[in-house]
Amino acid sequence: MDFPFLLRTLPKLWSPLQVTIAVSLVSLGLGFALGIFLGLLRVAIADWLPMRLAIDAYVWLVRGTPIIVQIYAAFFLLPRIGIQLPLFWVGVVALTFNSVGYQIEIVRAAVESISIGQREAARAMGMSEGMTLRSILLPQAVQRMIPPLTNELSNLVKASSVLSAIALFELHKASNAIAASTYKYVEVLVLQALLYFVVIQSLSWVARYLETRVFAFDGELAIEREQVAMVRA
Amino acid sequence: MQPLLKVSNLCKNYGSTTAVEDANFELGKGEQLVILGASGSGKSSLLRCINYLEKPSRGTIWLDGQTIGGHHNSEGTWIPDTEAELVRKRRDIGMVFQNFNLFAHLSALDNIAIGPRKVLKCPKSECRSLARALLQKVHLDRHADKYPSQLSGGEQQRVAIARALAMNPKLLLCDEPTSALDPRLTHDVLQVMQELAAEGIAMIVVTHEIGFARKIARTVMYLEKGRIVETGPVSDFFARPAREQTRQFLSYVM
Repeated sequence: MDFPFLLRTLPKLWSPLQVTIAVSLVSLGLGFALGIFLGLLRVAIADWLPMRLAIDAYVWLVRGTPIIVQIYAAFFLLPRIGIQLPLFWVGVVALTFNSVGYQIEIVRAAVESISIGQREAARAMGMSEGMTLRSILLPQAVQRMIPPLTNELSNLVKASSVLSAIALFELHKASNAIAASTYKYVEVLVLQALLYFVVIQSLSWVARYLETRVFAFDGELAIEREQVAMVRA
Repeated sequence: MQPLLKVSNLCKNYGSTTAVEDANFELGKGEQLVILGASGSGKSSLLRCINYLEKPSRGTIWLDGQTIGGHHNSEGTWIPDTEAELVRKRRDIGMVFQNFNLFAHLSALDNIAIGPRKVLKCPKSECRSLARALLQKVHLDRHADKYPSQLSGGEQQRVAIARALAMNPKLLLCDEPTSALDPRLTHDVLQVMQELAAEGIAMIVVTHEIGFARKIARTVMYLEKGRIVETGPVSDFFARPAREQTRQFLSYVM
């Protein structure tokens, strides 16, 4: 293993790494906005078959086709319908398209996992369906969405490597270019694996913090928080 | 005088199973009614039909002269309530659940304040002071900022009672409010409910606490297989149950 080479190469991967992080986070964010909208719609209109089928069909389409096909589709089909975007945004469109499909299911599962008693208590005090969803179910569901969203983010960071197929100069594409010109395939492989690992692990810690500290209110977490407060006092 | 609540010919079926069969009864203003019966006798279904948490299969419910779930038009046709009308009518009926069902993401204070705040659109400061007053009423003013998971079952149930009262309901429905609690916590909850009864808050309570039934209720109703088989003033009911089956049930719980 050529360690000096690793150290020399690391700075060259800094800007592609930023592309990887940016494309993943932007796609997660857009995916969340759309996912929460469509996911809540899916919960709210569960009785209205055409709408339900439309949303479910989208989820099936995303789940049933490989990410590389979705990426090529964005790359070739967007210009066909007259939309010319920089490569970065083609990547964002492809990953968002993919992520929304999974996030709809994350939102739906989180909301539906809130006990029926919460819904009944809200209804019994005269809250409408919409108010129950907004004021009671959604705030509790958000905390439950964080672990699956962390999974989704780690999937996105890794899936963004497939954007190398449309020549977006992200971490994987840049690594391949360096490996091809230096023949240090093993070193570059180790280096990019390490970088992906560090990025995903750091983001997971942030998510864990959000889950246990910012959105925590139930069970052990709340008690833990109280103990911390008592120790401080 | 017009009764506060009138239930007539109420039936509830789940598929081919009959949960409540032809229930008829009235409740006066400020009165308390206790419903007794074995598990599966339809007590909860009956209670949940009153605020339309379960939609009755047949029958009519009047609260303060107004029918719940719909109304008869001038030609006598039944017009079901829209969702908005039903939501509006539910405000007048408070409900306390066996499993408390406090909102897990809100503090005790906010659990009580959220109804007036969101449903009745009261100013924030007013809601909070109302919630404080109600917490005091259920003897929990020291626990205002705790989350449900930090409270004992008995404390949670008292917060739930305060939450129901915050909507200033005409009628309070309690579905086995103490059956998830140990005797000590049960005592605390029953004490609060007794105080409410003394204040003249109309209540229908499904319970197995016979002692409590004796203390608060004027009328006791006994359900068997979805039918109201016996009903009467509390003293008569316990002293001289009319039917052998009722006598037997009472011998188990007393």
